Amino acid sequence: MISLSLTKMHACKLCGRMFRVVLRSNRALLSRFNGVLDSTGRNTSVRSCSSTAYPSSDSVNESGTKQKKTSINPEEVKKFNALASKWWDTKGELKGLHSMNRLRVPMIRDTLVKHHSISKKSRPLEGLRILDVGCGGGILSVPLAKLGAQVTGLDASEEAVKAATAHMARDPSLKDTLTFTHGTVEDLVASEVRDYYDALVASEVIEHVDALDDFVGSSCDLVKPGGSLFFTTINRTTQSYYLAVIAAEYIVGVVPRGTHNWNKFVKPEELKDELKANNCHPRLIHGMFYNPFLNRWNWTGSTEMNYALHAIKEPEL
Amino acid sequence: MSALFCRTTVRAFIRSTDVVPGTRRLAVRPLSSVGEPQQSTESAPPPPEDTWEDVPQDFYDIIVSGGGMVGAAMALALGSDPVLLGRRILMLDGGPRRVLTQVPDRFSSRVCSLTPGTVQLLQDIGAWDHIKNMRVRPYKRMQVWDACSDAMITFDRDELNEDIAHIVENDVILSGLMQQLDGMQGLVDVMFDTKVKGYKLPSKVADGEDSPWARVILEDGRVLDTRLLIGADGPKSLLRQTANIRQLSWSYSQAGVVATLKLSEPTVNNVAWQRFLPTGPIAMLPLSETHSNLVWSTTSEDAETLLQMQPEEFVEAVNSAFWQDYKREAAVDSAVQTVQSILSTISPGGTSARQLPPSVSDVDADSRAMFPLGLGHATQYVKHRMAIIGDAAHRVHPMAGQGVNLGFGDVSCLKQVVSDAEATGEDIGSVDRLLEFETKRQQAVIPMMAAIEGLHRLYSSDNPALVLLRSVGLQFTNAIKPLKNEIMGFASK
Repeated sequence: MISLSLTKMHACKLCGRMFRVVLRSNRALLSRFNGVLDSTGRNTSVRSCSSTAYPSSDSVNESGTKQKKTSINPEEVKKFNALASKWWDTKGELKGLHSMNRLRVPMIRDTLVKHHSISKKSRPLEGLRILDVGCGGGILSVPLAKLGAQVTGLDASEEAVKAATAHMARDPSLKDTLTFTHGTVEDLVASEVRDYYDALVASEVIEHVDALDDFVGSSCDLVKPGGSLFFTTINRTTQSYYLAVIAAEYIVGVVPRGTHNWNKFVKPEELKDELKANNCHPRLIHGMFYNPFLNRWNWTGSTEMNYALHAIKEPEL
Repeated sequence: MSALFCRTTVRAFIRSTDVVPGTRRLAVRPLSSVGEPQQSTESAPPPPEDTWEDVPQDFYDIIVSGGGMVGAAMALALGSDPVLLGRRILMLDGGPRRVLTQVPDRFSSRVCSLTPGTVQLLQDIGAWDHIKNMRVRPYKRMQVWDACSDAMITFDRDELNEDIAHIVENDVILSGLMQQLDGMQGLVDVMFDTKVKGYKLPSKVADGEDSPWARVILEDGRVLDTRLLIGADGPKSLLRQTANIRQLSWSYSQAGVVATLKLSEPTVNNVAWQRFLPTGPIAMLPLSETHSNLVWSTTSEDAETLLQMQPEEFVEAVNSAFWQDYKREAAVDSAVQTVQSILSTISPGGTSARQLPPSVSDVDADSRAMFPLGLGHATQYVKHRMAIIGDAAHRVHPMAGQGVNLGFGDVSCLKQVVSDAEATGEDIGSVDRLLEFETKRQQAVIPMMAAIEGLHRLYSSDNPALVLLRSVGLQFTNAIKPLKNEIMGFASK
């Protein structure tokens, strides 16, 4: 979908330093909905980080990049605002992801609140660093940031990242807690970001990933010892083939055709095994059920279709 | 059932119903001949376009427009919610800060009957202690009876051990809320004497350069943006009009007369009295051992006359309204007596003896006032980034004492919806969430309005058939305890 042979100088959103960007092709293609959001020209520079880091000579820091934002071509701003409103239309094509927030946000919140023994009710996740992998337009990143967490939204689609940035720029409460970055988990690991996040969230992502072992390995590297990993995805079962692919894409049409490749769906055991191989211990697995007519998600005992998994990285001794 | 009056209601009722010529008549038809209701839809005035381009000076998470009883309670409820701690909340009040430095000796004639549900809310937001320390009067029993027959019904809670409701003066309620707001500095910002010039609301999906926030333009030129704008701005709500929300409203050619009455002799005075006269209900609500509040709904002409009377004449009129026998039909009387004897055979003790209200000896000077009665209901309570509460959303006939209680019910419900949205990091101004508030409240408000409207029509007639129907109905209701408890529960939420 995106030609990934670019080599450019960019400022890392994490540390403000300049990096040479080499985006590798097709590893962990995180963008889920590029098919939905039609890609148009890509002529503005996108900040990404990857490869070996070295201090920049013309030191573009956080404030420098912010000033840059205001001088962006107005046509571009318009385009990405339109894209953002597509992502943020709670009754539009992505309504299923919006309604899933009612399930996944409380799950992430309550798990972290318990794990870190947090007692405050207002912005309970304050002080925690969360990486939202495959953030898209920021549907999950924004509520997590509103709960106080320091959230980095990461996506391989630069359109999605720009749409997400355009959306959050309107909300004054998010400017200190939320950043969006174009890139992949492998990019972050390559730029020596390790043991950094209190939690990593990959919601509805791993069913689009080519190499699950690389993806899970990198994800586990990014999380602090004792930190949490959250996944939500679709199981590879007969039921999911008929419901998620045939029914959802071809009969009901709630998901654009070609969104899902059933062969890439991940069984819970496979995910668990990958996590264990990386010193991460699955703690909880929940089945999720989507009612497309009510646009409502519910927890269920069965993991035959969708499921959510929480794992904890082995704490340091 | 007791009566209630709110300052805001009084102010707004002065206006007669606006009938816009040529607007579509709505499907509800009036049934009664007394107080032929007129319905109208209100259309929004054109917004003052010249101010829309202003740059916002400040940003709040929530702005409550209107500092009356319901608006102040809303601001307090939001400000005292731990989930919303740190969110910027503002209450705008067009008037001055209204705090009683000391409770006046004389009672105000503007009072509310606060249900246990409302008292619970006021306790939760910390205002009840202030209010109780000033002046409240609980009552334990309520007697409602018919002027055209001997039928009557009494309500009490747990064999008189618990209070049905509290009569509290509006000034006292407002003062208690303001005192509590004083202690909330840093949690709730308050701007008094700040008038709103206009509002601007965003479309659901903010596209392109349009501001995604709700905007308030103040008369002094300041511009404030907010995630969620709550209109507690009374029956003529500017926010409701700006949002183009239609209001279904009608007025009866009726008016309410209020006054503070002095009783002939001190009594325990813990009963609320209400008698249905053919011209409308008259109620006496306890204020102290020596004083009661009068709420008399009657025809506009009668109300005018009552207001002009000499005090002695007025007292005489009140006493005879409670005591006098009205036109009786022999057939109705004998039917009522027969039903009574049957009922007392079937469930002895199920019916209680009719008591007589205390007689009145004087009326406080200058306590008499009148206002036209009307009813209104907004077709929607919410839109994207806005909600209307209290009289801005619904106003009812004062006879059931539910007006302000419905408003306080809105406060509890909206606070919970906003708090739940915040707890999951959702957009608190998103119409998706706000619709939960609308659905829940309309389920509570609409049956209440229908019941009140139905009672009004049933009792504003002396047609023998209707009198018979309502008398026998009232007798049966009185005798069936579970049904009575159901009604009590419904009315005390």
